[in-house]
Amino acid sequence: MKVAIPRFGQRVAPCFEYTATIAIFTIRNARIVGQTDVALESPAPLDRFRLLRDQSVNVLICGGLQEQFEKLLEASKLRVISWVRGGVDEVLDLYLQHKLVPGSGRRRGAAGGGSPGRPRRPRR
Amino acid sequence: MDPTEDKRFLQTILSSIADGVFTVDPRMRITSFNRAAERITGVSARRAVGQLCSDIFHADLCERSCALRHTLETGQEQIDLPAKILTRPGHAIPISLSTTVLRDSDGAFLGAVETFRDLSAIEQLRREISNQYTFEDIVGRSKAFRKVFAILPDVAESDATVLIEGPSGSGKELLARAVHNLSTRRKGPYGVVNCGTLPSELFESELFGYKEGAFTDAKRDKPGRLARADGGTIFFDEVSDLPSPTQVKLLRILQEREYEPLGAVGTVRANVRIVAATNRKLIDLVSEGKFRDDLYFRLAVVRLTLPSLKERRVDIPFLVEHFVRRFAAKRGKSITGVTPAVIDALMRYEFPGNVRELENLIEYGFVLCHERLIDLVHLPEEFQAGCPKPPQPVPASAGSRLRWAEADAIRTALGRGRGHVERTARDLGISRVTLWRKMRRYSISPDEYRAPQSSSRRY
Repeated sequence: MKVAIPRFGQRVAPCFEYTATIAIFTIRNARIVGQTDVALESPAPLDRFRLLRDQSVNVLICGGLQEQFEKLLEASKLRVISWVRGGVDEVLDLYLQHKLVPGSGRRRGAAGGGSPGRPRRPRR
Repeated sequence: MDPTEDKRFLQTILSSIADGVFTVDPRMRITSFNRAAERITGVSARRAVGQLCSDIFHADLCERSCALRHTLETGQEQIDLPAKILTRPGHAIPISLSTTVLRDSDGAFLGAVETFRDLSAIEQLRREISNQYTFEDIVGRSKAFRKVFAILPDVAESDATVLIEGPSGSGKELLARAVHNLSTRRKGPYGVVNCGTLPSELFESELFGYKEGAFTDAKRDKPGRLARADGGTIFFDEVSDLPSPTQVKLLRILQEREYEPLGAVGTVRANVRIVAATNRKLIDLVSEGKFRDDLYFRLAVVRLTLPSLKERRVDIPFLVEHFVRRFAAKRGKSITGVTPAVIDALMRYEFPGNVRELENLIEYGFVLCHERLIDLVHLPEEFQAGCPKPPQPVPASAGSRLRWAEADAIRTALGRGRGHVERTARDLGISRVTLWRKMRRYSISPDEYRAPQSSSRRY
């Protein structure tokens, strides 16, 4: 399984549409077995969509994301966890432990983290 | 004036101005956030203060050229920079921003201040004038629309001829524009030919153009619509209205990708992508002998079918929200939505005019409404007359009215949440268990609000 996280330095990029770098992690048995950074040159949403598709990404964890773009990605069977903030490593770690709260990047159950329901297990 | 009074005075001024104002410390964490900033971003000051400003604004400038960082590092002011911010649940808002250094009365460095102005209204007008619509303007979460979304990137990329079928007012032209604006031809021109209004005698001269002297009034060369759309896309609207002789001419363009301007000695290559639309089932016209089968198969390389609005009622609340946002920006009114009674009526209405009719209803409401929410009284009488009455009348006693209002709120939220119980519970701020209990009490079934099965054809 591949998880893509647009990043700005060591943090999740504030906005997927405008980010320049995307980190793609290969996950096997809930462990990271590979990582590549891909430069996103074109700002066109479709080019970003094609990059994710060409890289066979299954899950996108990102910060801000335009609603329609999110719908487009989800319609293409890509799981999207948007409006996440925090460090890339921390967010990925939370995701692997099924503790990532969509919309915050906070740990499930932490104060003020809300109650977004049971997390979906990542597809294998 | 003592310092406390001074601070209060300043806060009153900041709260009353229409521009967003916020301050950051040297580590880019927000230290204050005025009321207009709350309104534009949709984030409360309580939530924003203490956060990194990039986590609140999600702006296009954050990564490449953050104005605040530049000001903090160099001490230089930034004036009227254009930018875009993203607000939940993912709406892009164009703004112009200015930044300057913030110092205390002794000149000690405190951080920076940013002021920003919402330019949505101007951007909306610009888009209406230039017709720069993209898939962002296609609003739909129903199953039928999700299907269109799923193949739209591949369709746009392919350069194949596209046939869009759907009833009048269902958004065929919007989809055609989206196909163009998402394609590699997006920087090229986009031309529209309305086949229903173009006389067949003029078809050739309009489409192919002519050379000087080709006929009596041909005083100079005139490029046709194909030449004007060179490198871009040409959209043939209501293609089913093309008379038979003209169908042959269009077929030739599709087959040969060449045409001959009137009076020209050679052929011209047609470097255009063709998108056609019709409100009729073209294959039925083919079987009736009213439309050429060879032209049909040339046009329908990729076929997209848009459902009528009554087949995708689940999209109505999202479309209403979209139109309210659009007209609020265009007309400068502070209308924020419609009442639950309006949503309820819209969900029951037949919409013979489809999305266009809904758009017109909301626009009508914007003319008459001087409050925050459009109510039934602001909508045309014909709509109210044509709308089936709700099954349950509002009860007379206060307690019953309260229960009725609660049931109404649940129905409206279920409509917004497409019948998804967990999402609806979150929307209403109650637990899932409580929502189930209340739905049982009011005999509400979430199934009624789930997306209908698509009736669209396979693409």
